[in-house]
Formats: sequence, structure tokens, C-alpha cells
Amino acid sequence: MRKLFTFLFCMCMIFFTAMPIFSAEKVTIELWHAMRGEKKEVIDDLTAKFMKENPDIIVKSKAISTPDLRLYGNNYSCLYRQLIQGLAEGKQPDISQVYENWTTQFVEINAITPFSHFDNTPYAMSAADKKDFIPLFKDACSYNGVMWTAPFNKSVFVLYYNKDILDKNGVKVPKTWKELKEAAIKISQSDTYGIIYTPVVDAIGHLIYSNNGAFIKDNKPVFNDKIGLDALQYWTELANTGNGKAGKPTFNSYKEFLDGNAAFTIETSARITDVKNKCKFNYGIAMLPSGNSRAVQCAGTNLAIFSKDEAKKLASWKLIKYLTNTENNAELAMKTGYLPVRYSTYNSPTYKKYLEKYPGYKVGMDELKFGVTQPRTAAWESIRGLLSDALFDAVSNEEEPENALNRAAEISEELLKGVK
Amino acid sequence: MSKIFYKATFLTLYLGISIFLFYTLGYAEIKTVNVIVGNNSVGTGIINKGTVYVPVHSVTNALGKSCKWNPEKKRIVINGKNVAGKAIRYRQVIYIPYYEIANCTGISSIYDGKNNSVIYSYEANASNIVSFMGNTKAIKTASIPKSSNINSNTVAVVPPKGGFIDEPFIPVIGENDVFKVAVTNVENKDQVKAQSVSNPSNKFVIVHLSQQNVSDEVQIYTGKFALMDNKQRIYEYSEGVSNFWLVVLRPGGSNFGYIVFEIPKDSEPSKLILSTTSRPPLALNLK
Repeated sequence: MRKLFTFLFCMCMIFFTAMPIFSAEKVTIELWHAMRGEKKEVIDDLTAKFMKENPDIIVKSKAISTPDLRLYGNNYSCLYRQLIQGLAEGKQPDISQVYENWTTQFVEINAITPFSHFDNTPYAMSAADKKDFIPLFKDACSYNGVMWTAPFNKSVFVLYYNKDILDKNGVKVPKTWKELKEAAIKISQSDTYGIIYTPVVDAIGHLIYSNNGAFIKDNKPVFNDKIGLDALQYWTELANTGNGKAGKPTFNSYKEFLDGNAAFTIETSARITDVKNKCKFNYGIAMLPSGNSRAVQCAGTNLAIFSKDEAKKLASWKLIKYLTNTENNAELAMKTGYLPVRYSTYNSPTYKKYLEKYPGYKVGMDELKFGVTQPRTAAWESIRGLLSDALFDAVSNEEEPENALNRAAEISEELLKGVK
Repeated sequence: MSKIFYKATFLTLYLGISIFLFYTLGYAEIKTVNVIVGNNSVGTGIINKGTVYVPVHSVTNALGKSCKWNPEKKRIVINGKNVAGKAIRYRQVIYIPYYEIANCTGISSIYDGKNNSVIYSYEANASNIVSFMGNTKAIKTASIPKSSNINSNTVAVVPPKGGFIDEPFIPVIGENDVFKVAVTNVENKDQVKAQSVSNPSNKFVIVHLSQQNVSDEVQIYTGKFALMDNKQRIYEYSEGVSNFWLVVLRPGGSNFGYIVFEIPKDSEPSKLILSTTSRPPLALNLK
């Protein structure tokens, strides 16, 4: 009996001593994102699959969403605020979605880990793997030749149109901004809205970039030059034509387009799946019109590693590689409408087959060679707000376009000097 | 006792006479001029230290031009252009040199010394220009927009963007060892970016501000602003209609923009409070 007790005691000691060793092998990492609905479900599915294939890693996924759009801004504003606050308090996640202009700040304060950190590990990114990323996206994730983030949910702006309205008015799909304006004016005469759009900075950017202009050069605002003024006047003229029906600025533009109230709208390609599911009329998707040249603004975020602990860093790196590999990138693209970020995804038989079935998705890919990234400066988010205010003031005839742009430029110049 | 009585009497008389002279002689130096837009008299200007000033609100209103306050530049802005000259306040009215309106709008203006008038009109009549204190200001001859109907009996009034300023807001500054916060303007509005207040008995209060890192360390989280009204109630700002984006501030760096609060119409903003994680709240008195 005594021997039995001694044996059981020894077994217990071995078990309790060994347990921490076994459990120490499990690493828990936290992923923050701002996805919702179907997009969130895809993230949840992919992370669940990852945990199954990597039983030593636990991923806690946190979807950050706004409790009140007006009070707290959109999901991404909330994500950014929580990231900044988390970093200050040492409560940041291990991985998060980030925009390029956020990344600039995070690199400067050493808050994120460059991917070169894993170069001398068995998990290093191969040269072929790096080359597989679409250059536009890879460049947006790199600073001084080093990749700091991985492209994730990317999209470009495209032109959505209501085929029924176009046919009824004998209007062809416009290829240039001039043609779009003419088409919108013609349609407005039939008491239907021509183009309906969100009056934010992106609307000015479409015209600035496709006419070889820029927002900022050498850390100074240049958006109030002739190209910028022409861009703002384009929307102002549309707003003042056909009793305001040629071009309607509204913060509800997407819904109003889905309701069949307008011939055109401009949204990102990430809306394609939603349009496909909700549209009750015949719709079409076309490349954004061109100006003197063709250029299309990119949207969407990348993934960055915020971990401080080496084991968590490695686990985060494994998850990022997993989420952006060819197979999973294809799954994300097909289920959400985001663009493939790799050539191998785009060329994969699964995705090719999908494109045959839904050719609208190809428009975004066709635009990629004309893709541009908005400024990465830390002050960009505030400048975006100033330019959006300028656009809103001009199209609502509260201020002359030139004055509105000049005022935004004056304040932007101060911001570019001050935010450091 | 009598010495004290004499001293008190002398002091009272001295103060009384000083106050009397200040209010009589001081104001006596101010001469007035008629201000005419087209054919209509729109108010009274003043001559101060050799410069002719006009009431900025009355004139821009009559001309149908916008007039507001640029908190960043600390300048009055007419028709989207900063007024270069200095504004003065006299009996709660803001005045600027008469030619500044011409400079900002391109509309002709003359000072007619003979008739003691400042005239804003379609075209300057050179014969009316009388040199004032040996200094005749340059005059622009652009025309007034026809929509202003300057020559008719009724003057079209186009409400300027943001409404007229009652008076320039005097910046308020608060500081601790980490941040210096300056409130450069406070406005009341019913609508911001086409969005109305959620309750008709509310109003928007727009606070224009700047925030500077005055410490030697990088500040990652720069805190959250809240507003206290005159009834001690605290309000969060509406981020969705504001434009004040949190940024990491390095030593010396500054950020600025505007934040929008929705508060009851019957209350007034009292304090702007900055709450950070590392310091006690910093409060700026807005009254």
C-alpha cells in the first residue's frame, strides 16, 4: 500500500512538473481587424483553419466595430484609436490591419516588426514569395526596401453603372471624365440622377491622379494647383447642372445607387459582391474614366506585427503568411470581392474559373497597372478631412472652389510641418 | 482726521476726472464716416489714427461676400482671402481698413473725403477720390456680381459660410508638462457637413484647437477631449463629423483641427477638458 502511494505521488509530481513545459509550447496571439458581416466570417474561418493546422498557436480574433458612426467614426477610426491607445498602455494586439499612413507612424516609433526580422529563420519569406506579391501592393507595404506589412484586403475604385438607365437614355459607358460628365448631364434631363457620389477626398483624387497631378509633393500640398482646381470644379459644375441632378454628392450614395436612383456611382471594387447580391436592376462595372492619363486610387489595409515577445512575433508571422498565401488569398478574394494580392492567386485555376463566372471582378485587376497609393504621411488623415470639407463646401456652393482649396492647402502646409 | 478727509476727496476727484476724460476725450478722437454700398447707406465707419475703418459685417453682408474668422492664421477671412490689415473693435463692432474689402473681393472702393463717405461701387470714379492724410489707397475696378443688385433699392444678402462672426474669438491656452492646448475658435451651428443635430433642442459646438507636445518624449496617445457646459455636464465629441485625427506627436510636434460637440441649445460651453492616461485632466476655460 505504501509503495502504491509513493508511486502515485511520484507520478503526480512528474505530471505537474511537466505540465507547464507542455503548455508553454502554446502561444496565444491577438488579431485586431475592422471587418464585419461576411468579411468577418471569412477571417474567422481562416483563423480557425490556421489553428487546426498549427495546434501550438491560439488566435484570438477581435473585430472592432463602431457603436455609433457619428459619435465614434467608422470601424477603421475605432481600430486606429484603440491601436494608438493600446500602444501607449502596452496593450496592443499582436497583429492588426493598418493603412499606409498609420504604418509611417508605427515604423517611426518602432511599434511594428519588419518582415526581415525572420530572414534568418526557417520561416523566412523566399525571394519567389516576395516577387509573387503584386508590385503596387508590395511597394505600399515597404519603406526603404524593407517590407513592414503584408497586403491583405485591397481594392481599387471602379465605376458602377445602372444598365437600365443607360439603355433608356441611349448613353454608352463613358471612358473619359469628359464623357462621364456629358452622360450624367444627359441623364439628368430625364429627371434621374446622373452620378451620385460620396463627397470625400477620393472624388477629387480620381481626377487629380488621372490628370498627372498629386496631393502632396516634397512634403508640401500641391492639390490647389490648376489640376486640383479643375478636379474640384468638375464636381461643382455637375452639382450645379440639371437642378443638381447631374452630380449628386451625398453620404448615402451607395444605398441610393442600389435603390436605382442614379445612373453611375464610384465605389471600391470591394463592393462588387455586395452589389451582386443586392442589386435589383441590371448593373455593370467599368474601369474608372481616364483624364490625360489613367490612374486609379487603391484602398484597403495591410497586416502588421505589433508583438514584443519573440514567440508571439513568430506565431504572428506564421499567421500573416498563412492568411496571405495563394490558397487563402483566393478564398478571401472570392468570398469578399477584395482583389488578389498575389500573381499566383490571380493565375490560379480556382480564381480564373471564378472570373469566368463573374467577369465584373476582372475590372479591378485590369486597373491595377494604373494603381496609385494616396500619400503615406502621418498628417494625411487630417488633410483628407480638410480636402473633404473643401469638396463639400464647393459642391454645396458654400464657398468658391479656389478659395476652398487654398484654405485647405494653407492649413495642410501647417499640418505637414507640425505633425512630426 | 481732516487730512484723511482731504486725501480721500482729492483721490475721488482725481479718479472721477480721469474716468470722465478717458470716456470723453478718448471717444472724441473717433471721427465717423458714412459707408455706402451702391446707393445704400449700410452703416458708419470710423477714422482712427489716420486710417478709415468700416464695419466688416455690415459691408460684406451688403456686398454678398462671406466673412469669417480663420483661427489658425488669426485673421478675418473675406471671400476666402485673409485680411492683411489689423482689425479693431469699437463698441462691440469689428472694423477693418476700408480698402481691405476691395483687396479681398476685387470690388471698387473709394474714400470720398469731401462727402465724408466710403463708397463701394461698380466702378471707381477718379474724380471722387480725395487723398486722405496724403495717402490714397490703390483701388481695384472689378465689378460687383450682378446677383448682389447693388444698384437697386434692395440689397441682396447672401448668408456667408459659417455665419458672421460676432467678434474674433480670443484664443485660450492651457498647458501642463506634456501638452499645450490652444482653442482658437468656438462656433455654434445647427448643421455640420449636412448633418443636423440629433435632437431639435440641441446645437453643435465646434471647437477649433491645436495640441502641441511640449515634453521631451514621444507622445503616442495624445488623449481625448471632452466639453463641460455651464451646467457641469460633460459631452464626448462626435468623431464622425469632426476633423481632429489622433497622431503620434514627437517633441515639439503639433496637431490641429476641429472637434464637434452636440449640446442642448440652452447651455453654453464652459470648459474643454483633455484627459490623458498619464496626467490629471487639463481644463481650458472657454467663457
